[in-house]
Amino acid sequence: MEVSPTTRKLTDSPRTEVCNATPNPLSRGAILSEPVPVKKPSLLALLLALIPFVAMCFSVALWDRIDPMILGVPFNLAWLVCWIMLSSLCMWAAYRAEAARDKKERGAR
Amino acid sequence: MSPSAVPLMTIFAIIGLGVVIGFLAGVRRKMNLEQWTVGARGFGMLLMFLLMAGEIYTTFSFLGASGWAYSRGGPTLYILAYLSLGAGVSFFILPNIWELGRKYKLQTQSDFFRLRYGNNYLAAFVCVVGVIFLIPYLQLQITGLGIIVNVASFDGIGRTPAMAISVALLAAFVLASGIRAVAWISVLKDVLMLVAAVSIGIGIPYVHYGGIGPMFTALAQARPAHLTMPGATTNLGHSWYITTVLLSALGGYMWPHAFGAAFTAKSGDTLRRNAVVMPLYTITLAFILFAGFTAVMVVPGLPDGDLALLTIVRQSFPAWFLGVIGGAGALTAIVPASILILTAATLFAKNLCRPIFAPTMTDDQVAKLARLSVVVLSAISLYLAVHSSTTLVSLLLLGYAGVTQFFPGVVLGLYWKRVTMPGVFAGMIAGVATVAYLILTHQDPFLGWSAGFVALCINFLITIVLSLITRAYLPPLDATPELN
Repeated sequence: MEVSPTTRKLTDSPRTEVCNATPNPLSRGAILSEPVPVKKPSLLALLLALIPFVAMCFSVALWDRIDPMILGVPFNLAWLVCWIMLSSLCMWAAYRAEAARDKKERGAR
Repeated sequence: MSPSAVPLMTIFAIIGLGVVIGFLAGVRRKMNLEQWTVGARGFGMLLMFLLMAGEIYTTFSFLGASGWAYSRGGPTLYILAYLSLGAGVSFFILPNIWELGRKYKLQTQSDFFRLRYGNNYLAAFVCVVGVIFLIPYLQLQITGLGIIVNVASFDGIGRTPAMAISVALLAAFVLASGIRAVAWISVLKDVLMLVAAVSIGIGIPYVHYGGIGPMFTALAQARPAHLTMPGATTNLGHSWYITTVLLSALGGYMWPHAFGAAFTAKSGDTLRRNAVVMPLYTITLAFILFAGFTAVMVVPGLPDGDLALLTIVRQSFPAWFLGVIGGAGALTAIVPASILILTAATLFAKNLCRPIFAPTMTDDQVAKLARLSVVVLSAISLYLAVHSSTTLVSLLLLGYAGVTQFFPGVVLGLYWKRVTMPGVFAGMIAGVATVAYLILTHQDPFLGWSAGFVALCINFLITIVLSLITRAYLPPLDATPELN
């Protein structure tokens, strides 16, 4: 990753900076209040992670019933157990999507 | 020999084994603050999984989840949903937090807030709120331990002495070994928990009804309303479910200890992979719910739902097996409780005392103060656990409602560069105040919504609006060179 001027300023020594600072509620701690460098997730990964939320959370009214029982377990409980496994699968797909993007970015640079 | 001797001896043998593992894990490492709190940032995939599983699946999942299946019914399903969804949220937050942690040597959640918003008072506030809401969670574990020893001794040992012994053990153990010991004990805990969950989830319905299917059929006939929401309650319906699942999933990694656990990882990738496998661990909880549902008709009328699991185990299995279940349950309390104490003590010493009262303290002095705080915090939680009678789930929901108020500050801090310190500070204060007001005046759920979620919405709104207003008074951020 390129080192921007901000990053360098921050790396200098955030701890000494803070330890010696006079506590002042109005002090904005100028350098530290600047945005920290982070990597944004890809849209695909976000959409994949949203699937379990729709299935296990928002759609509760559609599956919260006893019948039909699946393997002797009420439908709502069986539905959630099934989606626990599927949500792991969704996160795996999101992981692959992120990994593929990282690789592509490294290749492009 | 009295009937209580066998289960009690088994429980103490299991705890003893755990303590030995813990001491061995810490033994040949020099314990400075970095090693004690973040394990020198060297945890790979396996240790990381164990640490995370160790701190997320607590005695709450063991006694609390089954207790709610017993006393509330359908609403307990929220636990299955939020644990998996929380892992999904961590996928997008923890790797970035880890990256910042490595770059700027962060050890705690409060360090992150200080780095991002550059204000000691905000950092101290985060620290105080974190420690305050860790206490109900810690209290929950200690109450759980008390219940286990109490039931396993056939009421021979009272809850209070049981809790006192456990707390003393806990404190001694945390002082000696730090975070690495905790992760290693998780190995024993996870194996036992898995064995315990599957054997009681299948065994208990089998003993009383001949199988899981017949048990649910019988329950659906006798109490059809119990198995769906709102179950045995009047106010925990679908809107409560959605808001509580969202609250808990978003807040799951806002706990200071779960957030701090991210810093122990070897790489950001470790944390991502961890988020992929984490949901699978939740399946064991389904088995524990089976046992709780069986208890509805087999041991009706218990004064406290949290007793349901152990009472039905005591009725269905031989005494030594009660000991094994009790031991597994005790470890699921000790492991998270150690992490909670460790986190709260470090936060208190490093992020509250040093910056505000004694800026000249060295890292070694901070480490000493942290160890002292371990003792004080253990005593406070013990006191609260002895003098309170709230159910385990209520304690947990209180904690979640509180710590989720960090979410806007963390997620906007990472992904929205216009967010400002005054916005986050005001939003967080409003959120915490709303939680305190609604819960203390017994208005949870509020109009069918989880009180913590209502507070989170207010928090987000204030943070965003104030950030847009206060932006004008800050140096223009657009002047900052685009990063990455």
